[in-house]
Amino acid sequence: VIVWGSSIPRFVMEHGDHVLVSYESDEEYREILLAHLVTALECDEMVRFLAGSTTSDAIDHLLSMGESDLRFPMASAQMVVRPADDLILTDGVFDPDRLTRLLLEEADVAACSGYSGLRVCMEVRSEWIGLEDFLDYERGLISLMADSWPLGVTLVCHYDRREFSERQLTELQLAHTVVLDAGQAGKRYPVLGISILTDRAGLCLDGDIDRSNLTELRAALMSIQGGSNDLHLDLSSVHFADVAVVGLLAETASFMPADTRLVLHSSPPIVRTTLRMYGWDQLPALVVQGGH
Amino acid sequence: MNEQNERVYNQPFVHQACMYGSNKEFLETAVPFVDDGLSIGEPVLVVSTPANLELLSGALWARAHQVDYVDTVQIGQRPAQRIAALHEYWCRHGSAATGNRVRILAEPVWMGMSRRQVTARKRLESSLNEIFADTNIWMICPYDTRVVEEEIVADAERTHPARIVGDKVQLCHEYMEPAQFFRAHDTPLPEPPPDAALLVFTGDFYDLRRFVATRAAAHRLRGRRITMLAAAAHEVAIYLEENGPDQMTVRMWAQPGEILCELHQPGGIVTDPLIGFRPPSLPSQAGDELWFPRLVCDFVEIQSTETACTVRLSMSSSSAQEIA
Repeated sequence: VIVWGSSIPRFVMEHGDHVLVSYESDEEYREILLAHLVTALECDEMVRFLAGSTTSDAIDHLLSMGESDLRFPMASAQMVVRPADDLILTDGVFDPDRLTRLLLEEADVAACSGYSGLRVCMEVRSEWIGLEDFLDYERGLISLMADSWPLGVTLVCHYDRREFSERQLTELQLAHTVVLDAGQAGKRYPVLGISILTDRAGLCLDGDIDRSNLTELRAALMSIQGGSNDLHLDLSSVHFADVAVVGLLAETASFMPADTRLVLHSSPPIVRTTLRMYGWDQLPALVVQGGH
Repeated sequence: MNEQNERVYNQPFVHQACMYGSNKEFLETAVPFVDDGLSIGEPVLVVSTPANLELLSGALWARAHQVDYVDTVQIGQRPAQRIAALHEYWCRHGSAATGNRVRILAEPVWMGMSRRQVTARKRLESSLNEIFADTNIWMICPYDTRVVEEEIVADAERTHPARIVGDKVQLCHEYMEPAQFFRAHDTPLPEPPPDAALLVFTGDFYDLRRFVATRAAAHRLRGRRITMLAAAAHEVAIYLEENGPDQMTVRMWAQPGEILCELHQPGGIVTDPLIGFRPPSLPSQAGDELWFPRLVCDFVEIQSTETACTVRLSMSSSSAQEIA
């Protein structure tokens, strides 16, 4: 049996994650902002940027650079930039409850406005590190994010590597569930992760799947085929799958032994749409369960 | 026997135009077509305007309830959506298993269509001769000469091997094979604007999807349609990459009401004008990946010359849900 995935780092930010993203140039920061923005627009999420040393004007400028002006989501308040200092300090004193309250309020606003999720991006200032309890507070956010929310919330902390020491960053990384550098965060879903399901026969897939990693997927599917049980694929962390990949899943289903089925769990919209368009959702041995 | 006679008399798929100038003329063809089918147990689908659906069901009396009716605007405005809907009806009701012939009266709407839509719709009519060649569908396409432009009616004689008047069949002498008809309606694509965003494709499909998604978002496309346009461009890139040795370029720009994404492959030649129009199979055949862009994009325009191939995808910049 081939096992993938156990040592592959997670590049995918999901709802419920408390993410640390570090960058070391303005160009990298722009790439990260663009990645957040495009993901938010694709997924219909509301975005709140809490600006640290970067001013709102500077963010405005970053988004207007290049051939595409990306400031328009600010006009509809899908994205709002606010100074982080105002939201985390009360009279210059660190106030842990303020950010929590802000998250709860914005989650309500996003849910009431019909967005599918909330993405809060906080630029952390080096001055805060000296504040009492800040590291504990960052750690505490992991459990806060794991609580139940009116809609999916992702909290992303941005750290400028030019302002923090390696030792500080190493400590801070432990207070987050996902740690990414700018390249990884900018390339939102770069790799295919494959791991074996432990509770039943099947695989959990993660990332973007297209012809560049189709061979790996085919090999993984072949390695688990041949039993007398249904095969299960957990697709909840798959962001993209092209026609060739969905066709491979359909082919796998059509070659399942008699009385066994290929069960797809939490298929992303692109997979469900492709199955329907190509008529593969009608295959008797293919079962699509649950959606995103 | 020439190719057209072969199509008219020896193929399982029968495709006839019916030019009518009054309700009476419409019923003179439609009623016997539907009635005869029902009397020998053949499934009958009528796709037409609400007015004609009402007219026909009224004339069929007691048998009216045995017919499947669809308002013609509800089975998809894009050609591939109509092919998919009609093909699915045939698969469900008249597949080879039962041996049943399926009768379809399919009247497209031409009123209010843009020139590009009219050309696409005419090409659809022509392509059906090949796409459905192996089905045992008998399809009659009514053209209301009171409202449909003369030039569209004239082309119906080029896209249907035969026409039916009342219940009498006549050969269409100007009939053209689909590839020939497509070529005759080729018009050069206008050049993209000089300020269109440009990506030189390096072989990284992830970068290509991200480029398309970012530009689509910048041009205010929303939600899943961003993903769909990026996925459509991805499938076109996969197809073109196999068809040309040189570096592909991708350009994106907006014009009023739509967002365009053009993939240009020097050295690539697309010889099959119907590529992506055939309902896909399993295992997939070459070109099946283009079924995806054909279904999700409002227009897929292919221009192939001796030196290069260009595929231009178009998506409207907002959907009904978004302006509601």
